Amino acid sequence: MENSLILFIVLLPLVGAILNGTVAATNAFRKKEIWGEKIAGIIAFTAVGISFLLSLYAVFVKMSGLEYISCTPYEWISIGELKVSVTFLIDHLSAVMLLVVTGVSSVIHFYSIGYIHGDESSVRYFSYLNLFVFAMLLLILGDSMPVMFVGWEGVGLCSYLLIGFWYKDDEKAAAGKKAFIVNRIGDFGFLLGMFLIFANVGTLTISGVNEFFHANNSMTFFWTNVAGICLFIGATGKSAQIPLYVWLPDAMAGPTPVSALIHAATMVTAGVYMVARFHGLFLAAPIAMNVVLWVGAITALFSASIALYQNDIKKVLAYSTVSQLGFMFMAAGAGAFVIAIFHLMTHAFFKACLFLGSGSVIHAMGGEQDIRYMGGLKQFMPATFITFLLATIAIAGFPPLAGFFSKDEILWNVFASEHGSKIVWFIGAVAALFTAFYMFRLVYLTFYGNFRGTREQEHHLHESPKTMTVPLMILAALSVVGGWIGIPKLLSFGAIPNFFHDFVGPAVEKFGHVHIAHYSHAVEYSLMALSVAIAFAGWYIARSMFRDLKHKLPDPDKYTGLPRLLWNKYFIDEIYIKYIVDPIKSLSTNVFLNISDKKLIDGAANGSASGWNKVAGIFSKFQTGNIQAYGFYMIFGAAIAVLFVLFVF
Amino acid sequence: MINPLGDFIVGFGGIFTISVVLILFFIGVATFIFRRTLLHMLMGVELMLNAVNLSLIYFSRLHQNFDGQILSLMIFVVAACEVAVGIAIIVKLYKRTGTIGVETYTEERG
Repeated sequence: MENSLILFIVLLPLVGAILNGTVAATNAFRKKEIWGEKIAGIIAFTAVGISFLLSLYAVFVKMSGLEYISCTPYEWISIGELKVSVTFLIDHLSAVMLLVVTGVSSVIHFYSIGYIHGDESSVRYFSYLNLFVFAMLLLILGDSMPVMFVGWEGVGLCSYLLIGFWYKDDEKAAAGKKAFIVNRIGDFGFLLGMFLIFANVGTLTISGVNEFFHANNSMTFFWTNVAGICLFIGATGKSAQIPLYVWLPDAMAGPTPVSALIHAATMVTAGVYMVARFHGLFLAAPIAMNVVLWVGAITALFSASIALYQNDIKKVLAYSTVSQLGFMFMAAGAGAFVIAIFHLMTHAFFKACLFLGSGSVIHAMGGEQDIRYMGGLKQFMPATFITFLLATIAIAGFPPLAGFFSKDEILWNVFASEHGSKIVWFIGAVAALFTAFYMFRLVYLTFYGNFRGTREQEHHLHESPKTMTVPLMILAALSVVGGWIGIPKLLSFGAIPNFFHDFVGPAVEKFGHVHIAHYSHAVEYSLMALSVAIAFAGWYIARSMFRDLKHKLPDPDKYTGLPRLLWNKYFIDEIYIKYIVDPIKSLSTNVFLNISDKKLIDGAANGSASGWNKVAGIFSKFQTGNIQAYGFYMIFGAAIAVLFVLFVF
Repeated sequence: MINPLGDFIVGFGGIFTISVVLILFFIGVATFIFRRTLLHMLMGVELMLNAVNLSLIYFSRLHQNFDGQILSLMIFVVAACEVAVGIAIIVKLYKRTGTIGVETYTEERG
């Protein structure tokens, strides 16, 4: 088979997952270890690491000069017009995702070896982690929507398994269930979109769908907008956008590397990737594009404002992730798919770094996650501090770190693109200000000032082992330099080519070009200066408020007004429970369980059973127990058969 | 006129043989249905089998091949086995209940 290399990239993590999964199951069953966390970690890391190296080879050697490479192992479904073949496609768009996912996964697998050390079910953990990578690769590389959907569901499943990894804790198990159920709502939208597309286009391959819109000159049909919005509902579930973002903050119950890998760097960006993948459809659906733009913008501001008042280090990062995903959707909604993917990549670096850093902090604090009880950690854990700080500077948008280029490009595109809007630009700018503020608040409260925890915790403080700090350093380095491959031409005066744009651009701009309004360079420069100023403002406010924290932080329960609203996350969870979850529960119990299930369905089943029992009672009278009567019936029947043959035929 | 035995039965020999077959068969049927002891019923079954054998041999001759005769030999063997098993069962039943009257055995009542 041609390019069977791709098959290895996808299947290696699956092999790792099966190996470790089997061993985890037998270990639990036989109460005896076949192999422990060490070998499991090595297997998992090797599988993903080789997959990463093969991806590098595939992208830079095999694909050089080509538009795409693909590989079709087998045809999955073939019924009439419906043909679904399992095709793995690496084009310039999926190549970026592929490298980001396998690369960040390798780093985080390595980190996990140190993090999960000492956990009794670490083999199971590594098997889930590998399974996740496999599902994610299916999602990224699958060229037909059903294959993508299998991956889409697969990552949801792994997310559920890993959030509820410590399932003996009820709260964590509940967080896993919440994530799964909320995701199911989104998946339903994705399915509907898929059906709509198949009904109208007649193909399920993604390239086929994009070709269709290209051939029809990006004509807008009514169903295009509906399909676009349906797909976007799927994206809101997976990528935690309003209204389905509620699962992501709770998902922080999982192990920290999982938060870094699944709930920051890879899985939650699947929605953005999917929108970029269907750029042909979205460009032909202006209303859907507008929905994407606005939902992204509102989510970015909304969750950034919640993050301002959170005290749990991982919760802050979770809301920050939601907000950054909002930025990506803003870019996608403005038609700047390249920039969306660029931000996706840089975000994967610095947010994974931040999460792993927070994991390192939590590890040192002995499980404490509340930043009110931290402080002054920089002298105890310098490596964690420096990497965390670098990632913070990157996310806040200081040049020349990664976050600056991508975020600035997003704001510029939203400002200037024909699909963008000035109001959305303003919302984005405010969200960026919030981002800089809450991130530096986090840094100052965690690493500066005096230690505010217990004496015992202070005694315990230590820098994390090498397996944890090395990944931090790698990711921090990437957060610094990662943006340099996408420096806008304007900033370097055309001296440095914009590698990222040149690489991804052709893949997503093939089907329709987005018109960018022409502004003078002065406007562009001043906007750029403004976003730097915003980052500085956020940093300065946070510094003046939290650098040398003398007084105690106020008790959140005593907040009033806006802080109270923000601390309680706008009471969204409570509203959902009161107005959606509870009514559905009572509907289910009162109508579906008590009436339709118990009365209708059980009644029908039991009624038909007893009915047939009565009918059978009549016929059982013929069975007298007299063998000779049976003989008579038989002869009688045979005689009728003979007569029938003789006189009817 | 319709020949109730079928158009392929020709001549006196054919009618005679088939009549014997039918008579034997219905004697067997009547024995099975009306005699009240298991042993007689078994004999009725044997009669039916032999009637069928006879018809097989006749048709084998008619069609000038030996398939039917070979089949009838096999039926002999099977019938012999069946009789052995059947009689063994009847003997067992007799030892258990002291009777081989068929009306005793009504376990199959629905």
